[in-house]
Amino acid sequence: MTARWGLVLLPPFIFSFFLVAASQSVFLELSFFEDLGLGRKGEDFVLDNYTRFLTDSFYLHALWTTIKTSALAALFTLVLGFPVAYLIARMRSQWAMVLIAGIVVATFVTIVIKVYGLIVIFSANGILNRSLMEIGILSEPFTIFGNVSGVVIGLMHFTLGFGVLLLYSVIQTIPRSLEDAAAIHGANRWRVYRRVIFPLALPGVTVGALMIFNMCMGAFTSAALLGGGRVFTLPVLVQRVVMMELKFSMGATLAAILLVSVIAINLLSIFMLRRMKAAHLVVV
Amino acid sequence: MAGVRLDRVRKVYGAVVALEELNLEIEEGEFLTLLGPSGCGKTTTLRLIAGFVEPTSGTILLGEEDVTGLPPQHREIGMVFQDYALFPHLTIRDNIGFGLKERGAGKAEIEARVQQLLELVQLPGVEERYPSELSGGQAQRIAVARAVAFPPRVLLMDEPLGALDLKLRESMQIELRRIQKELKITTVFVTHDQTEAMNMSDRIVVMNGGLIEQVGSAEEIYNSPKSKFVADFVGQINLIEGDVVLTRDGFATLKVAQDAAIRAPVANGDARGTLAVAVRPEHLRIVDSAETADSDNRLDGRVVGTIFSGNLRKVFIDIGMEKPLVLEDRPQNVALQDGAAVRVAWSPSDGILLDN
Repeated sequence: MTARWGLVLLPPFIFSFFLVAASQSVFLELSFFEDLGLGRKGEDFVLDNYTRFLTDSFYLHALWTTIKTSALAALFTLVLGFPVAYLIARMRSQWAMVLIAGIVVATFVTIVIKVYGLIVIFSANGILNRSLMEIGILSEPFTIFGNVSGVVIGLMHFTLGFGVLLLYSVIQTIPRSLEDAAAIHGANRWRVYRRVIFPLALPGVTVGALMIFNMCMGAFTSAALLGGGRVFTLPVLVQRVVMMELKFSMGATLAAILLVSVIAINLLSIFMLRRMKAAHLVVV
Repeated sequence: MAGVRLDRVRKVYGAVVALEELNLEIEEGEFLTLLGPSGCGKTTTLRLIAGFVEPTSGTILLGEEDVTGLPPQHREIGMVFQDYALFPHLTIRDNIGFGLKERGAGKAEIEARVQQLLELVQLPGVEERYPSELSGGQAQRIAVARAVAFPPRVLLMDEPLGALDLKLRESMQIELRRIQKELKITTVFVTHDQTEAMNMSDRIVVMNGGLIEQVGSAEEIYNSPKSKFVADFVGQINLIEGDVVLTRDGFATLKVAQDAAIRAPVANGDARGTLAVAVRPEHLRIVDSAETADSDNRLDGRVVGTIFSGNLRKVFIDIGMEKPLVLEDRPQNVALQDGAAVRVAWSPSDGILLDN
């Protein structure tokens, strides 16, 4: 039980580092040159692109939207995923394996198909809205197309399977006898969670949350499809700026800022976990 | 503290009967062991008392209180688990104090009790440590301290010594029994180790296939097993099958392999049909035909193997049955060679007549 936190957090760190950094290292350099449009760049090494980012509320808002949707998706994934993962991990029957297999299959279905499925279900005259309006719960159709809730739902569609699998493996490492021991020595169901399961699951849950958050920060498809040209996260913006506006240097700057934000948030989390470990708030 | 009573308790999982109409009374302050092979229902019985599972039918009483349906946290039971189940994220102090805290005890009260219990289990000064910093034997003692911290009405132990090596296990048997006697606590102990059961228990319940085979003291179980299963499970025993040809003066005469006639005491007057005579290895002797008393049972056979185990020598003798007879010889006797022809004898009163 003396594994170092750094080692535990290394895989998600390396994952995000290569995901964002290695493939775009060429772009990083580009971000320090003036953008002359149509893929052309200036001669001098300047910080103009960064200044523009930090002074333009549109860009700042996109960064905020990216962090907000990713954090919300990670949070809701954990909140929804934990009970499911707990239930599967504590199942005695072979149904547990069937459910896990189902989740794995669902997770690897391409996100495009899944998101179009979502759009069909949630469309204004789709089955959900029609039936909800018919029984009078809704007077207007509820749409997930082109708003932040839609993007969060889309991201979760993509992360929930991963979340359940991750949490399942975390919960499985907590022996059931610990729950029995807590219960027989006077803890009710809530206290068993509060004093045994949550503290023991916390390190794994935190790593899982970071992984999911990182996945969301880089997610393009669900954000682009459900954002519908109205919600801009940084990955969506990068695509737009580079492919449609042909502003390579500015796109590179956006990518660089996304990368730095992800690294900063991961490092901050590692630092906080270290502090918690030092205070014996979590156990490794 | 209280006794425990299981009244017609039955437990079924789907189509599998885990426990069949169990009636059992455990007296206040008694150390009772549930003994049997895996799948015999002993752990199910323990978990039923704990409240982790509910019986399909029947009632469970702690003292006078019917606790059937009461969740575990309200039963005021202490339990020691097979893997100790100490909370890895809590200090030894918080582990021992867990139940006290859950039941609303104050900090000073918990601290005093923790110190007192660490004295009792002879591990003073470890309260700041974490479970991962303890040896197996120490973790075991802390698990016991935690189980008895909030004085439980009953203490349950589920194969608590299974993970320890032999020497430590033997000393922990004595240690656990000392603690149990000191606290005068009603204890239900589960094990598949018959030696452990005999070393520790006031009474032993031998279980098999969801049924109680026999309840009694170690002496009763060992000396007067009531079934072939108990005879075979508790200690080593030879079973010799035969047909009863005569019953007279409290002894039955059976015709066994080799056309030999052997005699065994009849417990309740009558014996007929095909039965088994059970005889412990320590009651068998190797004899010359000359020195055998006329009344002794005698069988001729051939040595097929010997094992020297320090305080005795086991001799395996083929007498034409499926399994060879096992005989315990004194270690200082000269070892018999494999294949040597020998005569085995025992006093008829040492045999036990059992239904086949």
